[in-house]
Parts: sequence; C-alpha cells; structure tokens
Amino acid sequence: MEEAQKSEDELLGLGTLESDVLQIAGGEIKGVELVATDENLEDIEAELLLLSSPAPGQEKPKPGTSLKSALEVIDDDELEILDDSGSDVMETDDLSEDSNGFIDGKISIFCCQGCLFVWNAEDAQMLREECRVVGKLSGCLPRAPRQNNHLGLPLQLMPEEARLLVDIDAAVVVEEVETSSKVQKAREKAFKTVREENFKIQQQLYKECRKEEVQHRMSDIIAGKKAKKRKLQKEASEKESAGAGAEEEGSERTHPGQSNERTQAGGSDNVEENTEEDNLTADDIVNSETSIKHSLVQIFTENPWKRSLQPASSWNFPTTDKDILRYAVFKDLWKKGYYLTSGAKFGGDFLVYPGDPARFHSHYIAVCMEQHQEIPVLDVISMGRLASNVRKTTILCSITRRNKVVYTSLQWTGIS
Amino acid sequence: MYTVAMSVLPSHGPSRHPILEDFLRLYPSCDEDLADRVFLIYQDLTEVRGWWYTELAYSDTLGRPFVIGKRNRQTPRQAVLPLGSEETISLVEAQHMFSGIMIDGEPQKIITLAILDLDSTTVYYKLTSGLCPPDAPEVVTARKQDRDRKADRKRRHIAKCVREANERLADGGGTS
Repeated sequence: MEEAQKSEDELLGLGTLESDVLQIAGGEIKGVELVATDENLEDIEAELLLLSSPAPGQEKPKPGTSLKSALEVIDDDELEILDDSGSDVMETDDLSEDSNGFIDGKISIFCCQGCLFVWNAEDAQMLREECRVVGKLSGCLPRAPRQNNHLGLPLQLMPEEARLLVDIDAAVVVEEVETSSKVQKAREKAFKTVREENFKIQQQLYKECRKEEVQHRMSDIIAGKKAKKRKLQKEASEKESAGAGAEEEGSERTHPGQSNERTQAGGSDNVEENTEEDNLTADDIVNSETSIKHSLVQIFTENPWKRSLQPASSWNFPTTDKDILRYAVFKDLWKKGYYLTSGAKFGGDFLVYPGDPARFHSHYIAVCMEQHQEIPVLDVISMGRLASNVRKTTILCSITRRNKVVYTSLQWTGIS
Repeated sequence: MYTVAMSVLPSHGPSRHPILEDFLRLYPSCDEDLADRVFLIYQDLTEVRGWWYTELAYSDTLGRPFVIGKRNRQTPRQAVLPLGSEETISLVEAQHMFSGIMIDGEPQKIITLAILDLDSTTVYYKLTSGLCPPDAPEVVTARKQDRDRKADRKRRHIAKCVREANERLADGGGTS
C-alpha cells in the first residue's frame, strides 16, 4: 500500500524536496516575484483561490506523513490537485463548469508557445491506455532533478496527436486567460501563507518526532552526560593540582586543606548534578527549531490555482501541405490500431509500434513524402539500409489526390 | 557473397551476348543502354548469385526491361528491376511499377529494385505495395533452426570425410 502510494506520488510529481529555493513547476506560479503587499485584497472572491491558507485548529497530521497528506488534512477541498477521492474531483468539476464549460469532461491540452502539454497525470495515463496516444514526458522529476534519462510531467504531444484527440472529441486545446495583477497578488499572498503554515506544521511534527526519538534513548543520553561531566571534572582537578604544585611555597601550608575542600565540593556537586540529570526530560533537550531553509516544499506539476481557460484560438494545425500529409498518415496508421511516436530517432516522420511502445519494438519507420516528389535512388538505399540495421521496415507514405493514404514498404533483400 | 567485377557495360556489335541479342530482337523498342544494364543484373543473378532460374523480360507500359527469376527451387518467381544509382523515383512511379511489371500477365505486389552504380556495384532492395508486416517470431525461429540444421549437416559431412581420409592414410601407411 505504501509502495503504491509512493509510486503514485512520483507519477503525480508530488514529491517533496528539501530546498531553500521556491520550486513550483505549475506554469504561472513559476518565477513569480514574491512581493509583500499591504493592499486590501478582501474584495477578491475567495473562490478565485484554490490554494488557500490552512484553517487553524485542525486535526494534527501524524508524524512521518508527507506534506501532501499534511496539506490534505489542512484543507480538503481547496487544493484541487491534491484531492484523491472521487467526490472531491466531482466538486472541482462542478466548479470548473462555471467558467470552463466547453471542456466538459474532456482532456485539457495546454497550448504554450505553440507546444502542447498535458499536465494532469490521470489524463496522461488515460491518453496512453484509452487513446493509444503516447506523447513524450518532458518535465523534470522532482525527486531526481539532475538527470534526464527519466522524465515526468508534463506530457508533450506532437501536433498530430493533439489534432487527433480533438478530432475524436477526447480533448480540447486550451490556453489560459491572463489573470489580473490583483488576483496574482492575492495568489502570492495565499501562497506565502500556505508556506508559512506548512512550515509551522512541519516544525511541530519535527519536534514531536525528535522528542519520541530522545525519549527512547533517554537513559543513554543521561549516562553520556554524566560520563562527560565526570571526565571534565577529572581534567579540571588534574589541572588544578598541577597548577597548585607550581604555586609559591608560602601558600604551601594552606594548600592541602584547600584542595581537600575543593575535592569535597566537587564531590558534593557531582551528587547534586546526578539528580539534576536524572530529572532531565525530552522537553529540555528538544528545544531547537529548524530553519525555514530546511522545510519541505510542495512541488506542483499542475497549476493548483483555479483559473479560467479558453480554447486556444492561435492553434490551427495542420496548415501546410507537409503537415496535412503528416496528419493524414498519422491518423490512418492510428486507425489501423498502431501506436505512433516521433520518428526523429531514425530519420523518419513516425515510428510505428504494434502495441504499447513500452512493451514492443516498432515495426516501421514511416517517412511521409508527396507522391510526385522525386527521391534519389541513393536516398532509397540509405532509408532501406538504416531500417534493416535496426530490424525495421521503412514505409514510404503519401496521399493521393482523393486523400487516400498509400504505403510502399522498403526492405533490404540481404543481397550485398 | 562478393560482387565480382564484371566487364563494365558490354561492347556493342558482334561481341554482344547471344541472350541479349535475342532479347533485343524480341523487343526492338527497348533502349539499348537499359538493355545493357538489365543484362548486367541478369549476369549477376545467374552467375554470381547462382539463382535457380533467370529470364529477361520487358514491360511495355514502363518501357523498361527487367529480370524474372527464382532464387532457389522453392521460392516463387520475382521481378527484378534495374535502376541506375543516378536515377530518381517517386511514389507515383513506384505504384506504376506495381501495375506495369507483370509475370504471366499478373501485376506484382513485390518488386526487387536492383540499384546499379557505375562501377557495377549492385544492391537489391525490396519494394512492397502496402504495409509489409515483419515475419512472425515462429517463422524467424524456424528459419534460424533450418539454417543451423544445414550448417550442422555440412559440418558432420566434412568431419566424416576427414575421418575417412585419415583412416585411408593410416591403412596405406600400414601396408607400405
């Protein structure tokens, strides 16, 4: 169960990180300058903010739980993407219907500078399992930020994939309506509050954990403290007796008595402190605070704010002849039941898989070309030879004037 | 197999190969350079690759000569179309090839392109109309087993020859 939870967290990108840097991968929050504001923000509707400050006096989260669950306890329905239960999802759906009715249960594909992204983990999985659309993960994994062998959300889609999803009514390509600076400021404020509250909760959790740990080892600690004290006293008395030996002769008479008194005093001290250390409790030891630098930070892989979306009007793929050809080929092969990914790896337009690319090798390298395009025979050789070297078949794809897709397979025969 | 250096483009006139002479007599409309080229492929398949059967043919619709051949006794006949490495080909032309190249009046779904460089280096590529699915894993393993079995049989045969020769030599040595 714990394992499953963990992997799910990883998939969602809801990992936590110890960091002093603000790491928010949720679109607009990224890079926002956190400026303190004294303006009156009360006139902004609370509904505009999904991320809101936790209410005090809530049930305390158990030590050891992740920040995610801690936040869930704080405020169930206000952090949209942290909701796991179905009812909450329904709620947020209802909320979004007010302003984003056109989405209507479809997958949202975000158009950002002409690139297409799916930010929602469930959507990304659904695309692969239900729609045979693979896409490419292109985000940094929060738990493994300094590598790019394994990537996480968002899922970037080829324009052909996005167009196909729109054509089969499974998705909408959207862009975000720009938020006013007022809302922006309110968000900043809310965000800061959440972080502060989180820090407080973490502080509390930290102390509880530490206390528990100290409690367990109390006897060791007391014994250690006593031993240390004894050692110090021994050293001090040795030093003193050495220093006394170097003293003037005139004081010789009084010296033995003094030293005697001292050892006696030291002995009585020892007894006194023994009792003092025995009375030591975990509370006395655990009083340090951790710095905010070490607080756990929630990293969002999807924008957590409630926002209004609009259909991406600027996105109108396909427009060029080449794009129209590519899309026709993509759609035809997809209809035949294949999975397709970008073919750039092998110099083609698409790679064609008979099943999920995670489980199958691709069969074909699809190269799209206009049907009258003259291909030098030497290019035919290079395409065919490359494909045979990687145990695939090159398919040359074109469309007729009646938009019928025609395939010609090209293979090396094995003769020289 | 290695490409054997052949006489680059046979010279015209009386020294032309009788098979090519017969072919040109049969198809007078055939371009002579194309005929020379197809004959190089014919020679390559017949003499170098050792195909079971080869025959020169001509497509009127394409205006090109080609070779009909069988790699071995079991495989079906296939069409081999020579192309110069300097040529270009479009997908429309490829579709025309599938309809224009016939064996016994049957259009072919599979055509082998024999691509010839000026130094007579030849490579063979298979063009298939439509999607050509890869062989099923069973077919691949069966083929591999077949190949292994053949190699094994050959090895055993050679070992037997060597053994027998050794015995003969030993006998001969004993008597003399």
